Amino acid sequence: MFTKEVDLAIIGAGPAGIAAAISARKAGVDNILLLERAENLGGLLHQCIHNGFGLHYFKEDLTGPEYAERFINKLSSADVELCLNTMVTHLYPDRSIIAINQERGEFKISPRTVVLAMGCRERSRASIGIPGTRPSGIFTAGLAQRLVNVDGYLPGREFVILGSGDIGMIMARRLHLEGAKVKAVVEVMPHVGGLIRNEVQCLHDFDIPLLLEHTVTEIYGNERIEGVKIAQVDRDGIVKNSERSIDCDCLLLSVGLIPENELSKEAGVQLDNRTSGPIVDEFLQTNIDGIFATGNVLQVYDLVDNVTLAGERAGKNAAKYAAGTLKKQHKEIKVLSGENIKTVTPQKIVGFEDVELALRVQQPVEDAELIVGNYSKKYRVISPTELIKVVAKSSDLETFWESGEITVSCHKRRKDKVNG
Amino acid sequence: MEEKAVETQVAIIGGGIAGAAIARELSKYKVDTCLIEKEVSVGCGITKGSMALVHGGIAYLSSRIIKRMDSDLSLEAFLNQPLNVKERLGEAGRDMYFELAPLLNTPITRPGRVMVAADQEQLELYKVIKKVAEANGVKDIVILDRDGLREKEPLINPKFIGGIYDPSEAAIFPPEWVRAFTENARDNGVHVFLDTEVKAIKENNGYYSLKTSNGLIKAEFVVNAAGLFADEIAGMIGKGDFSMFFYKCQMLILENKGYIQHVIARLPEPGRPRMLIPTTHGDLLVAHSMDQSTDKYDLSTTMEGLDLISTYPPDLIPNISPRKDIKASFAGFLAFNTKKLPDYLLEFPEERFLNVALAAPGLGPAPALAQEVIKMLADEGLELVEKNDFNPYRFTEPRFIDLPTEERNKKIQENPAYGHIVCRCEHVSEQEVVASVGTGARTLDDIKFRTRAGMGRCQGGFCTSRALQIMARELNVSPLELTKKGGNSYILKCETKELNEEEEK
Ligand SMILES: Cc1cc2nc3c(=O)[nH]c(=O)nc-3n(C[C@H](O)[C@H](O)[C@H](O)COP(=O)(O)OP(=O)(O)OC[C@H]3O[C@@H](n4cnc5c(N)ncnc54)[C@H](O)[C@@H]3O)c2cc1C
Ligand SMILES: Cc1cc2nc3c(=O)[nH]c(=O)nc-3n(C[C@H](O)[C@H](O)[C@H](O)COP(=O)(O)OP(=O)(O)OC[C@H]3O[C@@H](n4cnc5c(N)ncnc54)[C@H](O)[C@@H]3O)c2cc1C
Repeated sequence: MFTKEVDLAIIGAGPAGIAAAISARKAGVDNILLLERAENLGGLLHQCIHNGFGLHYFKEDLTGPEYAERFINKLSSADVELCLNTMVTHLYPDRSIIAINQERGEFKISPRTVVLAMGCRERSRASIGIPGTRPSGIFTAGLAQRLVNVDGYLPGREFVILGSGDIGMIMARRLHLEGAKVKAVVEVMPHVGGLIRNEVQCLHDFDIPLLLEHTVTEIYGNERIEGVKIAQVDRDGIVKNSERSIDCDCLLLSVGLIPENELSKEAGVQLDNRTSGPIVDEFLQTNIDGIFATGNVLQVYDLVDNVTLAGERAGKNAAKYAAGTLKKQHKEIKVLSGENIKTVTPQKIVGFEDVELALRVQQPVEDAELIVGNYSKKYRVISPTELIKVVAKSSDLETFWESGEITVSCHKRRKDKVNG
Repeated sequence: MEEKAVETQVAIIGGGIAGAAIARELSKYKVDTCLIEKEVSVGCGITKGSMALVHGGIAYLSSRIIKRMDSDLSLEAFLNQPLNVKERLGEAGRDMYFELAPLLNTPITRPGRVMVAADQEQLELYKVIKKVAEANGVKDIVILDRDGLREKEPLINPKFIGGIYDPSEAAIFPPEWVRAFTENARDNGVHVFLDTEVKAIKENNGYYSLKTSNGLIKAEFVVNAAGLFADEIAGMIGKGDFSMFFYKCQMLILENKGYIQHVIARLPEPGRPRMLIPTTHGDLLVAHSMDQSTDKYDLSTTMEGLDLISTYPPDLIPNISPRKDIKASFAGFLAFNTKKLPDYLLEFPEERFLNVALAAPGLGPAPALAQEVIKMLADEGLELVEKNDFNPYRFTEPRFIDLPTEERNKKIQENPAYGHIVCRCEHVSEQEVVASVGTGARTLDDIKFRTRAGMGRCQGGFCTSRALQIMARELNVSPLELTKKGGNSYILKCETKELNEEEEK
């Protein structure tokens, strides 16, 4: 089998993988290979033709493809070898990679360093187990987005959307603008799953009905979907006698994303039950020496700007690793999720510098206090839909090396402490 | 106005496991045969939604126990009753599957069956089953003590004190076998009519005229293997003296994260066969909550059903969390004929018209059933002359991803479409999708069942758009014409812009 030796192989050329490639190149890595199964660069951005990208990174409001374009241009002058239309099928603990494409057939890559940037897949009907018939006309929102924005077809004319993730809300608006009718966006939680910005700009601005604390309990129709039954939900589950039917010829699901873990698992990368992605240290290195993870494969980001930054960080650290200059202690501090914390990355701290933590809370909190070890920070509101960043200073971390643990938590500030 | 009819010697109605196996068996002889199936693909009836086991001996014996309730016989005497037709064909059919597997190039696995005992009483019962089974010539049955059970299945719930092990229980993927039988029958001259529903049957002058949605078919002999609809087909010649009754069974497919190696079952109780099955695809199947049903088209799953089934796996293997490991859920019909319950109905209600109305289980016995049916047809006057050019082999392309690397690379060199992987979960290449269109796939479900594209973790999230493009190109149609499973199950509604243009008009 043809074998290729490289300094750094990056799997996935979405915004995370591209940023990793550019920054690793800048940091002096010579021989970089970027592997992507799709026919073009940019990952998910390619099908996100709406705007709202780059507000932080470029201070400009760009569409997904425009945002991608900027990085693709940078990449083309960075002298990185690209393998498009190339599916990575295996990744082993010794970091060797097996990939298949049309030109080379099946081939092996022996990289000194690997960055995982495979992104996410969408949760399907099966993984949430909606009862009913099995007709056509049920799509994940991202697939529908591809069908509409890339392939040029509408998958229906009367829609119900289950789940109010960003993709679902963005698709609601897109379909509405295409002349289709979005009869309801149904969300089981008391708040939307995606960004508030999208709730306002995609649903409210177009009078698309949002049914919070509701879910789809049954699917009708034998050949093509004909409708769904929805019901109200409270803490004890489905509220009796609250069921009603809505006719529709298409059901979209926007019920969450799951990191693409198959390769990580095969390589022996340890996963975090909470993020569902790899466990990493602040350098974004996994438990397997020389394998880094970044972007949506690490945790689900809502803003591409943060994905880019995470990609850059992985690229920079991978370069240091390759050069043997990654400075680590011989001990670690585990970062634990305490009260009201859903996810936090990195899951462990091993270095000497300040560490940026990225976390999500479980429940929205007003007048919130976020606590990292002995340090605390106040927020007017903290919402589960937002990825929150806090920096843990190396000086603040010092007292935790001995116990090897630091806990992050978030709760409401006690009344007497509220000052304005 | 009499339309021009297709004339044939034997018309088999129904392309399920029964009809397909019979068609292949018949294709060994110089007999002109038609296989008629109302759906766009074979194997879409009861067979599709079944549990996929080719049962071993103790499965039949242990399911007898349910029926013992109102019998005065001792357990041993009850179990010792002679085999009925279904059980006899089941015993014979199992070995035939293993002979056929290499010929038809279709997999069968032999996970074996472990039945667990919750208490000493059940363990004693298994000992009786073993004794009877051995007297019937079933070999290699082992009674398991606590340690023996754990050795077979390390993760088994500690509450089980032992069990019985039968190495002969086997598993197949039923639609694949139906396709294998059908394709091999077709290669040997059987005419296969898909998308062809038999609507009415008339007898005149020694011929049965079958009025179908696709024209007239005249046949000397009719084999009614219409599964759930066998009663209605018999009714078409005025012989509807039985009906098919059925239970709706709901099932879950879970990811088998190394949980089990064998089929694991509890002693069956009516309506609660609590079983875990490792499938030929490496998944885990759980069945089923059963409700007697009357709607032959209602294969919907229910919240209560799925909740109930979700309790089965942790009962057997506490490590499994169905809500987390779930890949798919669906329902099937466990069907029986009323006339010979619980056995098969195999009889000629009219000259040259044979009812083959099964009763579950119908998969395991199918190859033996086919031989039995051929014998019955011969006795009814069908002349059987063996062909000397019968080709028992069905050629299939091995799955590309299962080939050794050098062969894969040779293929990619010859045809680059092999190097384009269009299904990320099951690693299916573009060329395999193209080839399955070449051998008759017309719907997304056809592609899914032939290539497995769309069957993986993401359930088509990635490959759907790609598969549609390839199919549309190969069939030279617009993607708008493609369906999930025929009929009105279209996938795309219209081109973008169309709805707005409509509005403007
Ligand atoms: C519908 C939608 C709307 C969004 N809207 C906004 C918005 O308005 N503003 C904003 O800032 N952000 C938005 N985002 C978020 C942002 O687009 C994503 O967070 C970002 O694309 C994630 O980047 P990534 O590189 O981690 O993953 P991806 O973009 O998913 O890229 C991963 C890449 O890896 C490739 N890959 C995976 N496995 C393999 C393999 N085995 N072999 C080869 N290649 C492989 C994939 O093909 C893909 O190209 C949106 C996201 C979505 C889905
Ligand atoms: C949940 C479940 C689990 C099971 N588990 C097992 C098991 O583990 N082992 C086992 O051996 N068995 C099992 N069975 C039973 C087994 O699946 C059935 O007994 C068997 O598949 C029946 O096959 P068939 O060919 O008779 O019927 P079908 O598969 O229904 O075939 C009949 C065909 O006739 C066609 N047809 C009907 N009407 C017409 C018409 N008018 N014109 C043309 N065509 C028509 C239908 O479309 C269909 O394709 C199980 C069944 C279920 C539901």
